[in-house]
Amino acid sequence: MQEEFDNLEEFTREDTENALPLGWLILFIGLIVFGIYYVYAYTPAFTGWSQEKALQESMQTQPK
Amino acid sequence: MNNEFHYDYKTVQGFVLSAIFWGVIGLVMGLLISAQLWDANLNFGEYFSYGRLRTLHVNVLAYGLGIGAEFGIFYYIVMRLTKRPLVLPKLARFHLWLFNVGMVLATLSLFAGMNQSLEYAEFEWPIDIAIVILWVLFAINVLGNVFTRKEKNMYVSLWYVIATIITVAILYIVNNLAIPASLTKSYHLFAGVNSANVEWWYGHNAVGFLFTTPILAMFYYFLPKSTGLPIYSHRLSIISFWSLIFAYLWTGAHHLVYTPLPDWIQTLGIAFTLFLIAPSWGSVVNGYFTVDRDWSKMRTNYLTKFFIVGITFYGLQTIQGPSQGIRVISSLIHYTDWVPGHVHMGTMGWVTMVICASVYYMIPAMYKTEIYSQKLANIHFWIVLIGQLMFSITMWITGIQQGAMWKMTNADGSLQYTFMETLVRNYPYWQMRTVAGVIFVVGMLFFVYNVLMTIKKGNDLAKQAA
Repeated sequence: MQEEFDNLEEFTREDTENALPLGWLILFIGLIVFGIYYVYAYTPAFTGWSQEKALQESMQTQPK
Repeated sequence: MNNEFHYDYKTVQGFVLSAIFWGVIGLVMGLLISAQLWDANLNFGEYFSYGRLRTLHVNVLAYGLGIGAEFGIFYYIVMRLTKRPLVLPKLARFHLWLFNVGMVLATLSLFAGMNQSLEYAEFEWPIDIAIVILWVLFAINVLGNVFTRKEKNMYVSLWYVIATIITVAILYIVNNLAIPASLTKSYHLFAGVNSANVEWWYGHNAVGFLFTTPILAMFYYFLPKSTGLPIYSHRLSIISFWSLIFAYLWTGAHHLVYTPLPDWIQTLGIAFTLFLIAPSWGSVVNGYFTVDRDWSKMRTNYLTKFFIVGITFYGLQTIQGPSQGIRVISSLIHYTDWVPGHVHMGTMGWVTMVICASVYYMIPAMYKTEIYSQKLANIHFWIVLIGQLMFSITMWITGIQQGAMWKMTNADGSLQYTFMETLVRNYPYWQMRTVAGVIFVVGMLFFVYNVLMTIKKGNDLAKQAA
C-alpha cells in the first residue's frame, strides 16, 4: 500500500519562514521582565513582604 | 513523494475505539454526579455515591478518554512524522490490551473506594506500577521510532510528544512514591507541606502534560493537514515549545496560594505561571496566522473551525489560569465552583474539541473513505460549543457569588453568611450545569455515531473491494 506524503511539515518551505510577530515578542520579553520584578517584590528575603504581614495590614485598614 | 511502508493502523484504531468507550462511561458519570449535587436522592449506596463517582469521572475521562486517545493519535502522528512503521508493532498491540485491562482494574479499584487521596493520583500503588509499565512500553515504541526516523527534521509535534512522554514519567513516579501498608492502602512518602507541594507540582503538570502538550502536538499536526496550509512559522512554534517546557514545571505552587507553603515558593510559582501566557499565546497566534492566509477554510473545510475554536479556548484558558494564580484573585475564587468552570472550559472547549477533530481526520484516512456525514459533524460542533459555554459561564457566576459570600462580614467582623446559606445559593446554577452537561453529551453522541458509521462505511468498502 502506498502512502501519500504532502510534506506540509517541511522546514524548508519558504511560506513558513516568518519572523516572530512583534506584538508577541513584546509580550514574551515583558512577562520575563515583570516576572523578575514580581519575584523581587514578593519574596520576604528581598523586600520584607510576607503573606502574614499583608494580612495584618489588611485587617487594620478594614473599615469597622 | 511516496512511502513504501505499510503502516499498521490496527493499534491506532483500537485506541480510538477504546477512548470512545471510556469517554461515554466518563461522560455519563459526569452527568450523574452533577445531578447528585442538587438531589441527594440520586446517590445509590456507597458505590454510586458522589464521593466515589467524582473521582471516577475525573480518572475515567482523563486516563480513559484523554490518554487513550493520545496513545492512538500519537502512534499515528509518530509513524507519519518519522516516516516509518512502529519499531515494535506487536508491543504496541500488547500496550493496547494492557491499557484496557488496566482501565477496568483501575475503575473497579476506585469503585471499591481504594484511594491515595491525592488529586489526579488516586490510584493505589499496584495500579501505579501497572501504569508505569504501560508508559514504558509506549515510550519504547515512540522513542524507538524517533531514534530510527527516516526524516531528519523533527516537526514541532514530535517535540511535544517527546516532552509528554518524559515529563509524565517523571511526575507520575515522583508523586506516587508511597509506602505500602497493604495491597490496597499506602501512605505518601512526603508529609505535610512537602506532600502538598509535590502533589501540586504533579497535579498542575499532569494537566500541562496530559491536556496541553499532547493536544498541541495534535493541533500543530492536524491543522495543516486538514486545511492544506503549512504552519505560519516553524521558528515561533519551536520557541513557544521550549519556553513552555521550561516554565511549566515551576508553576505548581500557584495551587497553594495562602497556605503554609513558604511565601517565596508561592511567589516563584506565580511569576512562572504569569510567564506561561507568552508561550501559550505563541501557539495561539501561530494557529491564527496559519489560517489567516485563507479564512474561507472556516467554511469550506469542516475541521478548521474545530481547531480554531479549540485554540481560542486554549488561549482564553491560558489567560484565565494564570490570572487565578494571582494572590488577590485566588483569594476570591479558590475552593469555589469557579474552578470546575475553568477546568471544563479546557477539557470540553479545547481538549475534546481538538481530539474529536483529530479523530475525524484520522478515521477516514485509516479506513480509506470519506467521513460519514459532515453535517452531523457540524451539528456536533455547535452542540458541544453551546454546552461547554453554558457549563463554564454558569460555574464562573456561581463561583464568584460563593467566594463573595464567604468573604462578607458584619460590622462586628463576624461572617455574614453561614456555609449552608452559600451552598443553597448554588443550587440553581448546579441544575443549570446539569442541563449544560446533557447538551454537551448529546453533542458527543453525534460524534460517536458519526465515527462508528464512518468505520462501518470503510469496512463495507474494503469488503466490496476484496
